[in-house]
Amino acid sequence: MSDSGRMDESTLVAVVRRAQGGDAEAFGEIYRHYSGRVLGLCRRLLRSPEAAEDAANETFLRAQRAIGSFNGTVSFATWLLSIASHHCLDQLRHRTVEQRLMEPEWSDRQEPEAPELTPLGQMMAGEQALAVRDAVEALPDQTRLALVLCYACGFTYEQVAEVMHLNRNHVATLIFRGKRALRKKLARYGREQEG
Amino acid sequence: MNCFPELTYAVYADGELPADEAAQVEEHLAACARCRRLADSLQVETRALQQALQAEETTSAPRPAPLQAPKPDSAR
Repeated sequence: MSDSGRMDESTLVAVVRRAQGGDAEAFGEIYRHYSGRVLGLCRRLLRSPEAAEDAANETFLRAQRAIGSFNGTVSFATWLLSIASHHCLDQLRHRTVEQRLMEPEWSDRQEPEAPELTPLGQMMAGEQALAVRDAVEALPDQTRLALVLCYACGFTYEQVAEVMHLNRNHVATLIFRGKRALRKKLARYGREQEG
Repeated sequence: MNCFPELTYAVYADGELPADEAAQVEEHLAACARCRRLADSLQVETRALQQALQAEETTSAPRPAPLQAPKPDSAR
């Protein structure tokens, strides 16, 4: 993934080096540059604005403590978003069994046998972006994490696999099934809008 | 050439298929209109999902984090 945005690559490298040397102002620049992306990731994974804010702040605290270990083998964004992902995964694991029972079930049995050829992506790209995000938030934790890392954060399957401690084929299947579930949910949403 | 499973087209749409397999898929797509429509719709979905999920990424920030002086211990 690329570190696109207001800070170009050479500036980012210099800022990270300064932060690694203990420059708190440099870390503040990193915070301002990435806070929106980190918060967005946490929101989608935790489904609670308050928990997401706490998780985003915890991510930056952890990143500040660990920035000396960043060695550039992955992009800084990947490194930072991985910290956020791991923290959110821990939070999700600690949620109560009761909470989990309240969440919608999406099983393989619900998926259609035949591929759907309708380009629901047309709907996704239009005014229905909110419906798409809501549908993603209703997915099971593991599926939601894979989709968010891949499509919101721009991680490759390989990077998603690394964060989630899965193999690449498992990630491909998770994303495939997640998109099928989304397609089905959005088709239902489309019918409701028409009716 | 036989049609590929839908999963293969989904991975292809995400740009995650190895080059040699992607070449085989493209060869098939050139000859099979049904699979071409499927692959096209999957690519539209991929782009749309990226747009929908990335839309609000840069529009909001959390409360300022309580920044502290760096410590030598690890994050995890």
